[in-house]
Amino acid sequence: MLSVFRRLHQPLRVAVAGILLTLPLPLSIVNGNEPGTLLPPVERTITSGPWGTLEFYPIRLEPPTTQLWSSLFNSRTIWNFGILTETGALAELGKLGFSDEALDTLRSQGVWGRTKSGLEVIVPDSVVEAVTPETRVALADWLHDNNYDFYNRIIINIEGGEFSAFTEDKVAPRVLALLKSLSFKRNKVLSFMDLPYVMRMIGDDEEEKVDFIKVILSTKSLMVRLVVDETTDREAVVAYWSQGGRTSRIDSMVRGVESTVGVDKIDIVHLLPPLPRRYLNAFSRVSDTGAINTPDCFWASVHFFQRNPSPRILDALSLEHYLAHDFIEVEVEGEGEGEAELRFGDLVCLMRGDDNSFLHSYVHIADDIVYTKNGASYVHPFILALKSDMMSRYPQDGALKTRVFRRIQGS
Amino acid sequence: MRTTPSLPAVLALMAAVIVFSAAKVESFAAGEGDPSQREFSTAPPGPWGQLEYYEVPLEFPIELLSNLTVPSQYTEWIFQAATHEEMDSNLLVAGLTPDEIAATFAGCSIIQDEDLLRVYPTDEAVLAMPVETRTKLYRLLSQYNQNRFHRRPVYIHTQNLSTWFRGSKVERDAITDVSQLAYPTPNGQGFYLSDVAYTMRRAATAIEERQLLQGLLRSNGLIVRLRLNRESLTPGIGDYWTAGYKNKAVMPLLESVVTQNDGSTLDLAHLIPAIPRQYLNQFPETQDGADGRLPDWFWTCYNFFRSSPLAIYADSPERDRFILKDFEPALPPNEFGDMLLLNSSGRIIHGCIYIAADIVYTKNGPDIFSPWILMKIQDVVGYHDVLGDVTISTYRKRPPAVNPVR
Repeated sequence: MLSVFRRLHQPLRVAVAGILLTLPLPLSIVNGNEPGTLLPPVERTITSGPWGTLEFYPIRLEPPTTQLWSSLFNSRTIWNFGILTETGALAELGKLGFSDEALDTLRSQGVWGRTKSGLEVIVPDSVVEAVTPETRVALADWLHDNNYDFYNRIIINIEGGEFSAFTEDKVAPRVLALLKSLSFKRNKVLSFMDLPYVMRMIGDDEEEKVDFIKVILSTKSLMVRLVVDETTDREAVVAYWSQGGRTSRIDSMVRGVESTVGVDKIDIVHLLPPLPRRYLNAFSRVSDTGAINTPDCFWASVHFFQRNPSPRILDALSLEHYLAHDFIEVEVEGEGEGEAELRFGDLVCLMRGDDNSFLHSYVHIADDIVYTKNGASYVHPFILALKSDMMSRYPQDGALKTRVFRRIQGS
Repeated sequence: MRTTPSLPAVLALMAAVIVFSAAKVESFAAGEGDPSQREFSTAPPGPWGQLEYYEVPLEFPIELLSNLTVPSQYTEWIFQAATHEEMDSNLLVAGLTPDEIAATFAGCSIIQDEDLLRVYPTDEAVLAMPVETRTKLYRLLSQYNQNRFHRRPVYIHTQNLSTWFRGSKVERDAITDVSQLAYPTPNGQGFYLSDVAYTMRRAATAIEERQLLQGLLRSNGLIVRLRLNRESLTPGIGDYWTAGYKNKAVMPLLESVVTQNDGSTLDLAHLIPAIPRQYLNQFPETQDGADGRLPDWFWTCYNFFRSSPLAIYADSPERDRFILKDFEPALPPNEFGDMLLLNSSGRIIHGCIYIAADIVYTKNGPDIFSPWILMKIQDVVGYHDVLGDVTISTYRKRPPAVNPVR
């Protein structure tokens, strides 16, 4: 974990599943909202710190059918080698660990052709089935370095790095087994690049195909609620979430809970600024897109305190263009002397350690909870997430550098 | 839904006012228990599922309070009348008797200002005016745009002022004033306060003045939650909130919540479309008026299901064309997302969006003091029904032609 995420106030965080009754918590926290109704324990987590006490649990968001573009349903496995020739491509595949037999099959049975996007080959099933996980890793890395656009089209990083979302009611065991055999790990990231092959194996059942695609593209989000009870330091909590009065309705919200018998928490959707609230757990729409870009992580994070989105953020300009005047860069804990802690609304940029290039950005909410959109794709929603889940989409090598930006009030 | 104030209704209202003026303020004065606590409520079950809600008083942002013109503490009534005779005639037509007129206007000062009469009644007259007289007089004054707080009174939806002012910094003396000056709405739903000016005398400093205004101008929004459990979650509930694919498909979200937290609640903010979610419990800000004006009720209704808002307003020339193009008249039962139009004196005075049970999404004014909130429909009617003749008609957004969101 990056040092930036250590904090002065060590948060108290407890997973409540299974140990609920041993905790000195009101029953109402155990069971949702109201006292008196004992329900089975659930996977919820409680964290306390300057933000107050938050209770959260994961949910799964599947992209709506309308967000699924037609090429996702393609059933021909195609690899793209950009400007390489067939001979060059086969040579590269040989270096990546492809067997001589697989290369021979590709040479003799693959359908090679050059398109506007580069050299393509339709890959025979026997080659797909023969590729080892190690070779898939090598191929993914090669595509990342040499044909990034195609890499982005073909690689799916499975949220959370495991298969728990693929429940039997959504994905048949035989399809799950197929998926497991074709997936591969890169660092902590679980990836998959053979969607067309699986589509082909599923056959004619269009509904099963849709279900599979929705699950494999599903995203883990969080439902987060602020606990307001007799132990709550209202002024401190309001100060944390208001950030100097920027979200001045927080006090009303907290007081409303405080003065209502039988209610002891409020969904933090009510504590977020208007724009992230608009997009929370939702997907980009056509109306959000610009001429050359669609909303991505930076678009989501730089707009966090804005009232309305700006089309300018979709233009291809440097980070500095957007950050230099409206934000100040702050040193956070572990980054230097006299550092401060991360605050609600801080924009965090992750830069690759080797070349200082931008990898990802998100907004700090509280503790390890962030507001993020993991990529520009239409199937990636705007979510609240744990940093660990967010990072399961980013298979970068080496250390990352963190830069923290705080919006200047009134900008 | 037209309400004609019958004699029994008027008597009932008067009785309510007596309770309002005396019992509740007495209980406030006596410091009875914890009068500011209230419980959450449960809405009648229906196709929407099981809803619970509670109230949150939304205070007008202090940083915007300087935008408010602070009224003088001297009560001013403005009549669109060129002469005293014309004013008296109008008062008689409004139902005031000669005795009531004499008592109310005794000792008042009157300034003639072009074709207006500006009347400054005595404090005693303002304070001692019988409820019946106040109701008739202020109803007349509400028809003159210059009387801001008569045209748009403070709406108090409960008899319990202690509850209504809970958490505010309004002093007890001012609350006592309110208890004497508030009068029942024409349709019997809640109370109006038009004498904001009179209460200003209770503010000794500029800070108290702002706190008083903040307390009087706050709006009560509802926080609504859908209770979810495996047994009761049916596809019908998902269908209700999806509203024929006008809204996003919500069933996967509901199922996910039930899977992870069976028996818990989901805040309604997660179920309404993106634009109303963005504005829920927010007061308008400067950016909302960047195109020249602030959103009003029609902007709010028309954009409810849209992914990006269109600048169209209640007084836009094309308003009715848009209604006919995108909506169709509907009969009960209301459905999620229906537009409810409030008609008074032959014109549309307000509109809001039906959510579920008796809960609607509304922006009650085109100004910066009106937030987007969830309210009970009867309170929205009480708020707007200054003349007591409101009827409601329902319009349903036509289904999307293409690309339903599934």
